[in-house]
Amino acid sequence: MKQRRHDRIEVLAGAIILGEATDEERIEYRQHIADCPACLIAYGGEHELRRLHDVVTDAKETEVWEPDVRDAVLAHAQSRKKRVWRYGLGFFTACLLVALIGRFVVGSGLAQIGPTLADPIVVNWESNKIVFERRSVRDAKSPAPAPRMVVVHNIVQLPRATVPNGPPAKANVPVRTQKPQRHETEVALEQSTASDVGTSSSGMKAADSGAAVQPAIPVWRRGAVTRAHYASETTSFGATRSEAITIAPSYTIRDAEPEGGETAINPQPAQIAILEGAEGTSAFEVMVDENGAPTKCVITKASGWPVLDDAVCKAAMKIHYRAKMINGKPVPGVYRDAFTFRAAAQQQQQQ
Amino acid sequence: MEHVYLTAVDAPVAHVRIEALVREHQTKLARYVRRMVGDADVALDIAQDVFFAAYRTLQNEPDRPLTPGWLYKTATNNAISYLRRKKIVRFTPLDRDWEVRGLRIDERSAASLDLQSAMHRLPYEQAAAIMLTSYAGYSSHEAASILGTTADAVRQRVCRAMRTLRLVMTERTSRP
Ligand SMILES: [Zn+2]
Repeated sequence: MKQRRHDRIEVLAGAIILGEATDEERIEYRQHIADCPACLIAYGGEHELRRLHDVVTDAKETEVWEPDVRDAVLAHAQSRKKRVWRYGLGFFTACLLVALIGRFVVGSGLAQIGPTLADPIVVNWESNKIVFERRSVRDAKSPAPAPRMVVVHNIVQLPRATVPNGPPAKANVPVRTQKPQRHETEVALEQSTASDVGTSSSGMKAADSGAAVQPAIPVWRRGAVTRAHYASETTSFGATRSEAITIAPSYTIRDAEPEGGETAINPQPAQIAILEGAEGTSAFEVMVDENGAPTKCVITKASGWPVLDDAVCKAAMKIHYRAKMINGKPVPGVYRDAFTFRAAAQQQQQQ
Repeated sequence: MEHVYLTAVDAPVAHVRIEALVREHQTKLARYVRRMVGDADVALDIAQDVFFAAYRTLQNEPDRPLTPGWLYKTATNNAISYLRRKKIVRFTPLDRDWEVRGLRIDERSAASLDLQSAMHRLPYEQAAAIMLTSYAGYSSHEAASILGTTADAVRQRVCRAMRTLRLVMTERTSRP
């Protein structure tokens, strides 16, 4: 009861300070402090209350500071317009991404089984070949991506041609015939260091540090594989590998491949891809004529970022290829490859 | 037809209105925030943010009446969240030099210093109440709607804040 009474007195005192008290309220306050020395000491009489109000007013009148935020606010208003335009583009890109992913999922049907933590194997088949690809699945505890990009060079190409006189019963047996080889190269944010991309030593380093992050998931042995070894293998490559099925072709085939090895294709995504943290895998096919010249590049699996896909096809069309050879005779062929772009971990950025 | 025209000039309308708001209120608002946070640079940042927010609002609704009360409400909220974030230590032993560092030398009258020292000791709600009313000139009803409380609550906070101010003044005059 007493507390309530003093709350009321504080409200009255506040009203008097602000000059809002009615005559009745003033009288009520006066009567209270006449009987309550504690309140008289704590708040003072009406005159004292008004004096405190004047202290605040006087303090205000002392001020001479004249800040000016006009330019900053108007500059902000100008930049807002541009940002709206940029967000608009972002929304458009997001729509495009959804459309591309939707198209990919529908178009691939059963052909694509995504890697999971429990089963990190991707299966893909076409009429004449089966691809088993074991990919590392990003652990949930893996560190957040930093604004730098690692290009993972996935060789998912299998140089197995149609076997006209092979046993047809075995042709459908899904056995992996060749390990997908991977190596990673870093695309630095600075234009000056971007030229390092593709050296096998840096690729190894990046691959090793990447493997250390995901110890629980089995991944393919990585390393820059010399293309010469691959190229010399003109026949019966399956037979020499224990894990491959033997569907030995009766003639030698060498598929189309880039001159200078797989590192010859060196996608350089635009700066915006790095800044926006674009990630994804672009799979592509390059039609190579009998002279080894690329005639067409098709993205077979879009990364979701047109800027990445463009960079991949642009790089693939820029280089020269060795034409597909059948029994030593060049024929038009197709080179298939994929690039996985992902943001580098923070440690790699500091290296 | 007229509607289409109005939509097309939305951005300029927001521009003109924000410019007028800044011109009219920037000084009072920045000084108000400076009293709240005790730091001129921070006050400038917060005042800018208030006008940025006003501009965003006007861009979406060019005809919306943006009252000074709206500006002060946004400024008060920003100032209080800054103080919370920085965990500015209040109720510290009296250190006038530290307490009044936000004030220019030519602004350091006795009343000005007393008020600023008191501000450093006040709980946020009391600081906002006394600043909006005695300092910025709002009635307890107006301040109540800005702070989202009742007029009586504002009056009570003003009374308590003034009690602290009185204490600061007594301390100063009784010091050797
Ligand atoms: Zn009393």
